[in-house]
Amino acid sequence: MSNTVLEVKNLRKEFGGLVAVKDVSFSVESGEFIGLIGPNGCGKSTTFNCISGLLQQTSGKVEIFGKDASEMRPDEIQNLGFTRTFQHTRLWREMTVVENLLVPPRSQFKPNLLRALFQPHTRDEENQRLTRAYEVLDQLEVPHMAHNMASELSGGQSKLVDIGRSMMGDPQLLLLDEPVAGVAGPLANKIFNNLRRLVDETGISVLIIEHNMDFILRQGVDRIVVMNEGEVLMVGTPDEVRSNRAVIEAYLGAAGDENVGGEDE
Amino acid sequence: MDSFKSKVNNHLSLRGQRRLAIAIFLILDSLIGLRYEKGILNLLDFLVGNGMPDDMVWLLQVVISLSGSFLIIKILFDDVSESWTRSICILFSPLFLLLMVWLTLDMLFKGLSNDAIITLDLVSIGVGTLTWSSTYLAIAVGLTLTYKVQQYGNFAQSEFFMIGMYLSIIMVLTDQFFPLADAPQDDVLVWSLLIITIVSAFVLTGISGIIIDRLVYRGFRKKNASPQVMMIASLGVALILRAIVYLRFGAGKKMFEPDADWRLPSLRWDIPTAKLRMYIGDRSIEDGSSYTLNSCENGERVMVEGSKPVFEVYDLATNCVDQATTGYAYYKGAMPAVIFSSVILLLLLLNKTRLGRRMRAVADNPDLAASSGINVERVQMTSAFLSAGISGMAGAIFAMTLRFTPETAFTLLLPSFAVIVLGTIGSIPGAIIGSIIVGFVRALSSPVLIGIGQPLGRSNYTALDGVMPYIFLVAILMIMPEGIGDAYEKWKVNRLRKRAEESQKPSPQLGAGLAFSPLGALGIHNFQQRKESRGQSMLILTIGSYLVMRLSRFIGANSISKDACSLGCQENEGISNNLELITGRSDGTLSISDAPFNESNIGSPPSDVAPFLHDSWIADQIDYMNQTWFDLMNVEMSFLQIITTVGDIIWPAIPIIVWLVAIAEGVNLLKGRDHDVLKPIFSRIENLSLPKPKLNLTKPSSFITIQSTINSIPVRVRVIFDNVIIRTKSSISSRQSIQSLSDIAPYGRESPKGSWILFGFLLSLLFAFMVWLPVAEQDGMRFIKVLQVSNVLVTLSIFALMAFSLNLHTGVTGMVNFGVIFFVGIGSIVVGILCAPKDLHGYGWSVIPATMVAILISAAFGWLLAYPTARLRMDYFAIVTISLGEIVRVLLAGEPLLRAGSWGSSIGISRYTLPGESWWFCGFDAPNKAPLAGSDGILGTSDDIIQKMDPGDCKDIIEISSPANWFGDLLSLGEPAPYMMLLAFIGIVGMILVWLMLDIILASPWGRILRAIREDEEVAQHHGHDVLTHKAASLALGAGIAAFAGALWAWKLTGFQPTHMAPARSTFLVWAAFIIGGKANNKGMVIGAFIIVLMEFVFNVLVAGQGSSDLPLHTTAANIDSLFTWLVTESWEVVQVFLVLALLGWIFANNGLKELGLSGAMIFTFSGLFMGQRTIDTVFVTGLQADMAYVKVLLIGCLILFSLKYNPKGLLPEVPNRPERPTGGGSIE
Repeated sequence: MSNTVLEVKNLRKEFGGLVAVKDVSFSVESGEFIGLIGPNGCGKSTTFNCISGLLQQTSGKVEIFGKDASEMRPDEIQNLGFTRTFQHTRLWREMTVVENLLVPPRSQFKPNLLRALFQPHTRDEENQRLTRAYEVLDQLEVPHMAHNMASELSGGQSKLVDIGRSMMGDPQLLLLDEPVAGVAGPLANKIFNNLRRLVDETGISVLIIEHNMDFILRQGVDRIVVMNEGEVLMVGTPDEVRSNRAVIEAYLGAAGDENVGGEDE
Repeated sequence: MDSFKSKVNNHLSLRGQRRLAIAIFLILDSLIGLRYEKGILNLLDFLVGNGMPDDMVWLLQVVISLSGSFLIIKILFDDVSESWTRSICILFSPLFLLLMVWLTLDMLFKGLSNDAIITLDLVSIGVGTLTWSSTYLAIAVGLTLTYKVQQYGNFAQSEFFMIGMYLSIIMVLTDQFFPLADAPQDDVLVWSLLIITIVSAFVLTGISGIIIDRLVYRGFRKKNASPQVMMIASLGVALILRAIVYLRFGAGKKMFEPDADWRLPSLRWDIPTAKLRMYIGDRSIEDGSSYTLNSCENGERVMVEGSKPVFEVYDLATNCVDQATTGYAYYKGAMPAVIFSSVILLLLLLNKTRLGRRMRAVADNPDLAASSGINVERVQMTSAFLSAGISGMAGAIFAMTLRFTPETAFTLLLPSFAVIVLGTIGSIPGAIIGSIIVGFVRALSSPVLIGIGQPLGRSNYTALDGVMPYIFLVAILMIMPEGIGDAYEKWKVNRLRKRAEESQKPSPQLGAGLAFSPLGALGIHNFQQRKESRGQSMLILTIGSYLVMRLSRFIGANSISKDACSLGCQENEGISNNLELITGRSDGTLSISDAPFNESNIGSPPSDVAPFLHDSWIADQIDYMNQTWFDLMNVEMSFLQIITTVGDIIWPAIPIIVWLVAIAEGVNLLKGRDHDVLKPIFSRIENLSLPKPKLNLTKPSSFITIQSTINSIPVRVRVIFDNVIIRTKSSISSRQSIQSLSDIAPYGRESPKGSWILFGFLLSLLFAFMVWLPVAEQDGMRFIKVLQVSNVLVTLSIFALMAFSLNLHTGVTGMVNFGVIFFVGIGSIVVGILCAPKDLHGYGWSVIPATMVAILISAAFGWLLAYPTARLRMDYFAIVTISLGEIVRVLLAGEPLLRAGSWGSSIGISRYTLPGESWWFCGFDAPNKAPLAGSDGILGTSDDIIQKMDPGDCKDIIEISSPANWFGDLLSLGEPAPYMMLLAFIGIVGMILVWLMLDIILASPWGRILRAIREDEEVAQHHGHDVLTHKAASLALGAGIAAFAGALWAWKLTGFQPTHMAPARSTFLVWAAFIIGGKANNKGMVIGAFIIVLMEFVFNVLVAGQGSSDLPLHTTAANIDSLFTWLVTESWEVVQVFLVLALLGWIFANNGLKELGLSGAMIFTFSGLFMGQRTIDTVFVTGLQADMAYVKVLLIGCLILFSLKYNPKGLLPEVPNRPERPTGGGSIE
């Protein structure tokens, strides 16, 4: 059932006179684990923001499951099954960790006051969500932090909870913006392994931004989209990318310091 | 046709086309409705059987028509693709709007077969613009500076303005200047006091700004407090400062008169003007009669027949000979001159020195700025000094223009917020432009409102000009949420980018030519060479020196300086200069015999002067005053000498120097050299830095020993002190009870149980206090006590409900709502109008449906508010909401539709149908009154008029079996229980129901989503929640609750006046309750509200206690009074006390205490030096006494600050949700 989850067509985004993204096209099939890489400032995050609805592109199209999502709001895009994280982890700081996980599940609420008043918890549903939240925390190996405030977490723990929170929304496509930046090596590998397993087991797709090329090439992603200066340089398997001359030039040109494993936030 | 369609599609998006259709429909419909009464609203009115008042119909139609016009402009901004046509359309959009206003008014008056005349005097509009814009700018600039560096909206900014105003009063009353206040008018202005006052207001207010910054804000900065916290802290500061000024200077109106002559009507500029007169509505003139216009033709007034013209322009006075003029008093002109020039100086300071860059660096990232070598605290101090100083200076000069109270400054604050929002927060050029626009809108709206108010039966509409800035603000925020400054920045960036692309160099020959011409002195060549910065400097130097010259000549001409002859002197023949006017001699000297004082200037001698000494006492006083006056005048003359000389030197010396520099630059240009002419001079100045004095004193060893001993004192004392504290602490913490408490509630106050325990404890404490609270009267003690307790409970429920609403908006959803009173006001007004009897302008509804409708209307407003404000930043939202509150407050004062009650009441709602009042006093079935004879005039026949008794009648009858009597008996009051008791019952039950509802809702997933929106709405949206709808729902729910509180409040007050809506009496108190109680915890709201309410009542008792020694709390009141008297009269003793505090602070190394001591000592030193007996005598005419109402405000301000500082989460902090893992073994499918 290989069908297209996301199709980006000739995406272009200008800020005033600055062209951040010139012309980007690529697609994501269901059950795929894709990396989006490129040097700093090449427009990866802007592309991401256009896909997730945070920014309105200047021209071009974003199609989700064949539907035109160009003018949709972020929440509508999420409701289609896309969940994203932000480069700088943004948890809801003055809420507990487990509460953070309880917010995303869809279908739990439409803004219906009456329902809030007369079916405040709907016990079973709430228990299911709670059980699921604790399962996710177990997977991430931070169940002991469940009752802490999100603001009390360390940087790495925040990243974990952020990924966990995204999974709570049962996404079809997970958009992760540098999920392992600032995370220690072994843990980063583990996160990737978990993601790989998630893709294999549930059949969802993952699109991941990473600007450390060496690192992502080792992580068993299916395909890699390489961006440079607002354009797609190439799309291919890790092996193809590794042997591509243009990619190596783009990286060596801009990135003497790129291979320092994971930069700080 | 198709090509047209495609053209439209190219330029206007689909959404734009839809919107345009709506806008045009709205405008057309409302115009047709206005003109022919055939609009949709008229139809609606017909359907409800003409139930809507005609006023309401046409008023709504006017609003709709104008909103439609605004919508068209919004479409222009939002949906039209960029092009030249669009830019031109945008430039002309204000004109379009004015045209639409005119068209709408014309249709309205035609429809009403009425007419109105609007006279616009160009000069008075210009002058009004200057006055208002400079006033707003003075505060707006201070706000901008604070925003720039510290990034919060400073609610205390207007209080610096107030300090400036009262400093001017202090200066007038000092020993140095006091005779001026009493000196008779002599046609000659005194300048030294004015100038000294302005300068000292700048410096002293600036210093007070620093003191407040160090005492209050620095603490919050160190804790990295959010802008929201700083904003509320500044609210506390504002309350405190205002209360202090009220206490010390009273609420009486004051005015700054540097010299009585400033008030002379002759001292003004008569500016030739042109007037525009517009005839609106029905312009027809009856056949045969004619109408005389104001225009002139051939020296005669023009007569017209048939119909009046649409408008006429004329510039001749009524006699058709003289040029029409408009007077502009000197004292009014002083304000814009001082404020605009000082703002421009400030702008230069920020742009041309490193200070501006440092400020930006500190604003951006204080830590980074500090690590790159910027002294962050000094930058903060400089900005605090400048922002306070400039507002204070403006306050001093503003004080000259009208009679003011401490409240006056605050009324200027909100429009100033409008100004900075309009001009983009943080941009000073934006603030200048914003202030001019807002000033213009206000100045223009005033004659329009006067013109149309009278014929519409709305003579109070003149008061509405104060509301124009807010309406304008809200409208502008819809069109361009980023403001003007942002648009300007974008334009600048674009221009720079285009320039960079052009890369064509300007011609050096043309530049040199410009430099050699006189235009070089204006720096034109530098603009041509694209060295804007240098060009600006030159331009400003030249123009500035010209203005200084003009100013100094003006000052010289209107003073007693040598050979000056003002208007008054010119009118007197045979007198050649001002000095002669005073002395009557032409020898050019001033002697002490010219001093103007005599017995009439001296009051009667004090009682401790023996009667036979009275004459000599009076003579001494006169001599003293005359001598002081003479000294003052001598100073004045030498002072003026300096000013005029400086003015004469500056012009033309400075322009010539600038021109010389320009010529040198021109030569360089021709030779193609690219070095700066001024560089050698600047570098020399920099090298000139003063050699630091090197003290090479070898200290004697004994001195060193003493010094080290002194230095070690604090350390030693501290060690002892710390030991004591540690021991006490350990002995306390070892107690068993504390241990067990933390077992019950592991997270303390932040766990459900802990929160409830503390709530119960605090509530019983406050309850006990309420029961203990004594009552003022002795007779009928029980009744009064019951009344008092019911009163406390009603007020508690009202404030708790308001706090619930605020908590839902701000504490839970994170929208900083400063407009609680907006929703509360809607509730009170709607209930009042719907319930008032029909003959009193009401609709005669019964209470319950009216309350329901009020809640629904308020909720609808809340819901609708979410959409336009959705994209606004937190502080913009705060400003919009507070503006909405003000709009309703002013409308309540001016709009007859919002009035109901007795005919005598001209404003507000004066009579409310109270819920259940009849049942309370008369029982379910009210007895009948004694029958009145019917139409046949005979009693006892069938047509007798039988009326039910109303509550007032029942109250006097003990026998009726009514709840009031039942409770009266139960509590043995001896009379029926007061109605307040029933209201208390309603209030408390309502409060508990709302509380339960909120707790259920907030515990549901929806509450969780709202909290997520509070923490980060963007992320919440990316996790699939429709933030806008959730916010709208939250706003609507809170608004409904607030409306219910409003209804209760109105019932309690039994009337609702605009004064009740003043933020300081409502919104800010609710905020205090919110801060003290603890955000996002409704239990905290109840406690906070209880504290605030009880404070109110304690002070009521204290006020009574001040009067008589028989009454309770008399001693407390007397103690407060004597403390106050001591503070006011014994400044030097107070200084000593503060110095001791500072010493203690030094010993215990407590920086806060030390600074508090030093600042206090400074303030009271100032008070000791400058605020002598004279200030006390003028303010406290009836005796020195503390006004308890302001002591209360002072206390509330302090409570806010202390709560924020030492208990930032409030007494009962939010209880985070910590659900355990479900034990049921995950029934997950």
